[in-house]
Amino acid sequence: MRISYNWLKDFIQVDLKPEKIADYLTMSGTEVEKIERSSMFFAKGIAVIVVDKLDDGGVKIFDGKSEIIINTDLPLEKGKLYAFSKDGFIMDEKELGLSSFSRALEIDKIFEPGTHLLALPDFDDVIFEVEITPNRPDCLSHIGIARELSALLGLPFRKPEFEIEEVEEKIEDNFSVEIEDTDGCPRYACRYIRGVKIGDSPLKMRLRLFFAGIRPINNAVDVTNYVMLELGHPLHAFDKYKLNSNKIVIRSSTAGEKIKALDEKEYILPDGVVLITNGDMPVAIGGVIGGENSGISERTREIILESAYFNPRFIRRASRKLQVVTGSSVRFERGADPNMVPFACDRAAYLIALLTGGQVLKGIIDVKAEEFKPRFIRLKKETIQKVLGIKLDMERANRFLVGLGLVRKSGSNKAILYEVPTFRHDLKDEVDLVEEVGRLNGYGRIRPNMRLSGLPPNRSTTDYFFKRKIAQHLASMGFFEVVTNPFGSETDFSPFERVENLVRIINPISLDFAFLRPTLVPSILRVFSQNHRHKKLNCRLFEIASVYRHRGLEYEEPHYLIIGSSGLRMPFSWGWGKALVDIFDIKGVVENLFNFLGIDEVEFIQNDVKPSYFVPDESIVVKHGETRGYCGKITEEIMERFELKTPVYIAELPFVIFRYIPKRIFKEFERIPTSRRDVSFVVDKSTPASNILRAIKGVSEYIVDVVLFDLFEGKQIPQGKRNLTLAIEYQCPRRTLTDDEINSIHQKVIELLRTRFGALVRGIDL
Amino acid sequence: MLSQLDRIETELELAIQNARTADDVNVIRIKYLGKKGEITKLLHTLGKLPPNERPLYGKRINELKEKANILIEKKLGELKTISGSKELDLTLPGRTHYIGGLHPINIVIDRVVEIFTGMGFEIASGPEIETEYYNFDALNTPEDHPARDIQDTFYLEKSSYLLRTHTSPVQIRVMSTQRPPVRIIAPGKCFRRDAIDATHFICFHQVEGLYVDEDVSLADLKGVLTVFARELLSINVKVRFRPHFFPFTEPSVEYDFSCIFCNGRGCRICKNTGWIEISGAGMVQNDVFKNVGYEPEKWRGYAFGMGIERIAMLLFGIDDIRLFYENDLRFLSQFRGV
Repeated sequence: MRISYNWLKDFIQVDLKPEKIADYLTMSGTEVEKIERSSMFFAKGIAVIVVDKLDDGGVKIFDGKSEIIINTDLPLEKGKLYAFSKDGFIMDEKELGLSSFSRALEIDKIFEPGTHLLALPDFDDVIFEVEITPNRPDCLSHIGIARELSALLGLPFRKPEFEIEEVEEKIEDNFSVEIEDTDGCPRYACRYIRGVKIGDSPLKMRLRLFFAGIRPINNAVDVTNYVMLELGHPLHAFDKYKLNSNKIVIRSSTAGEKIKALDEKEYILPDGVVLITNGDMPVAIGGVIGGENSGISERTREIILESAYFNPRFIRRASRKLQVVTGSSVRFERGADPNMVPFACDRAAYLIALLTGGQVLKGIIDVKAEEFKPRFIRLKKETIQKVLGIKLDMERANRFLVGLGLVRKSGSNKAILYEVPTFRHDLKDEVDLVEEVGRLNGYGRIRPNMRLSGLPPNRSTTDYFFKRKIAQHLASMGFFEVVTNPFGSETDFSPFERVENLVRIINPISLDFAFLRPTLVPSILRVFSQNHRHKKLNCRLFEIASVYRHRGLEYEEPHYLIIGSSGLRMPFSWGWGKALVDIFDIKGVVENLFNFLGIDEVEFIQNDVKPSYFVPDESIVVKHGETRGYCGKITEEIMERFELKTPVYIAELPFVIFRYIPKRIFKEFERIPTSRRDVSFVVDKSTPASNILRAIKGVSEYIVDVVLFDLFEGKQIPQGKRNLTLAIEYQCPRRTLTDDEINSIHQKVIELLRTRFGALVRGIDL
Repeated sequence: MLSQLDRIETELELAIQNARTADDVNVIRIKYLGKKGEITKLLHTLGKLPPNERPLYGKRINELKEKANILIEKKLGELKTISGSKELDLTLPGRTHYIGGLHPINIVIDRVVEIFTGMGFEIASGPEIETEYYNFDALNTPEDHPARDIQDTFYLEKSSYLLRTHTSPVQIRVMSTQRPPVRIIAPGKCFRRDAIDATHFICFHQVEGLYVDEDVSLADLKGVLTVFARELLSINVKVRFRPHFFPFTEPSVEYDFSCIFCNGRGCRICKNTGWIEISGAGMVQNDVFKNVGYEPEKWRGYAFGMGIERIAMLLFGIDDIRLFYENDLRFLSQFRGV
């Protein structure tokens, strides 16, 4: 909303600097976004005053800074004010935006040569661009803002004063109003003005409308707009002749009804829209926009002036469904003041009569379905203190509230009962009054209380910190955490999940963001792709985030950990080899992580079903309890799709896989050193190493560790075989094993390798 | 003779000081203490002196010899501790490992969580796919509030499901299952149907705070936010409330921190206001209490929110929100050690 400082001064005597006003307003809840000087509105046109006419046909003008001589054929008069464009053409009022008529800027005054345009009354103004929160429709007006300032600064506030002159003839003998839809339109009033002469409004009014961002149209329509900006109450003027009827009937629309509106668009109405009709034809969409068929034109002689109150719910719905937002719809949908109806009607009728030379018929038709009674709220001193945390004198609080237009009914220095005017329907409870007092008193007066109360701290913060512990660990292992957006297109996600299983957004901003990810794999691969494109091939990344799925009639969003690695296994440096990562690197990271968390019972299963985006021969199932994750190499097809420049290895683990972390209880550890025996053997490649290791561990309780520390295959080893070398650690609780004991167990291990796995053991078979 | 002794002593000290290797020191040893060394030679000339001068000179020469030995041994000892083996070039770079790091969004969330858990807040969470009830209805958002518009909120196929537009629904989830007092913060991802530009992205992160107890006021809210601002930024930061409107709080405020870049004097970052807008807060609306079954007469509470990207952008001087979601390593690697 644009507020003119000059206009405010009609209602409140204030002479502070605009910046000061803006500060007061902002700090009391009416945010001033911009302060504009009126001079800038005329930037495109330079206003000049003719100083003298010279004999040779030239004209001496003053542009506010200096006198210039120009040659022109235009009939410029001495002492008058004209607007020129920067390139020297005279600008008319239409070009300046001050009128809908093309005519020279006309001010009925002869000025002293040298007068600055902005020194003229009404031209020099300051415009505050204010943001009004949706709960304060009363502030969508100059009196609303003036009232705020009055309460804030303790200055007297006066409503517009006028005396309406009426002719003898009564309105009710000539016109009637009937409300059928009392739900949508609980109150409807009108006045009848005859003998109007439509033309331009006075410059002062046009300037004010212009500064407020409304195009001046004519003296009748301008008045309705002017009163709306002044009082916050929208009005509408009908051409009585074009109305073609002696009555207004307000009813609810039926679906499919059509009306051509003042914006020259034809609207096809849904049902339930409040329609203003002449008893037969719709003439306006109530509270939203007038009909073209009954609008004011230059030929209008008689006016029916409407002032009504519409139900906010109905207006909001109509505005949304018809996709039309007007100054009127905005105010009615946020809630106008039903008791402003007759006053606004009188005010506009008075102004129209004044500006058009028309005569107002006696009386006002005012039909209402109910009385709109004020609310009563009691404000206790105690509540102010409890909510705001400050002590405040009740009389000070009272001054603020009375300044806002509340009426003190009764009360003491402990509590006061207020009557709340109907324009403040946002004030419903005591706490609403506390807020009014708090904001006008200034939140700056609230001193921060930094003492904490005695609530027992932190009952369940472990989940968060557990996740962060894993994140920290992976960061320490050289992985960067990423945060990706969960949206993607059908093409992004279709390689990972069937399209019918994807969670779909019904109103995406574009098809690229139409689905939610079914897995974190495409999200992290996009990051790899982005970095590969910039020649960063050595990427080690992870993310902990949600994926989204259907679950029956609901949705679910399990958390996953995704880890990915590409490029060199170790940093590019003289100290390391140049090997690229492979499946054992990513598997090693997963093993390391479980190890770090103290989870020992993880299984890795090679021959099992894996998602199709993993290369089957280079990926493995990770199983802990009933929960399964995967790690392995991303397929060529996916690599191409994501434009990956080097193979990417991924571990994809549902976060629940980390549940059931065993409780740690200290056990006395064995102080006697372990004894080591190595065994080296050739065995079929097809025999899984994990089977051999597990079997050996099962041979004796004295075998405490088995480490595979060498593996080779090649020329010296027969086709289809490989050589494994193991270090086996033997230990017995509380005593040292004798050589004989160890040898006898080790012998069993060798027998196991030979018989169960068909191994050829070095030193015996080889 | 005495001046000669002094000269030798000075030369010797200088030579030892300048020696860089054990070999240098050996050369010095031979020069002064060898068979034909300068000090040795002096001892040989002792016999040529008058007998009464011999004891004095003898004593001085022996002292010098002693000192030379000590200096040489000491230097050799020092050289042993500083010189590396000639076989190893220790200036080669070390065998380092990959460097990783946390994402700046999570660095900020971790910091916020750390500060508030330190003040006794407990961490709560809720789903990103929410229902209209938790995201809007229970928070007292009118049925036709523009935030519910299909223009502003992402809706899913199943009726009434949406992507949460703020972390406030966690308030409702916690209060619906827990009797007061409650004191929580809830970090999480949120979604809004914004056109993507330098300051808007379709998803972003918030941290929500809520404290409900018998005796909670706006002054307490200002208190925790002040402590938070001081911990996060600096001890001099002040908190300012500006009145505002939110459907789920009453009174509602927007809170600002005094600008850390200019100490409130006014600069480009605070647009010369001296204040930086952070987010919204207020006292929990009575209707919200009724919706979760708390008695409004008995309980009072405050709630606040904050946008993590906005704070991260301020803290690290990041000017484009999209950088957070691109995850370029050249971006991520700048936040090591933060």
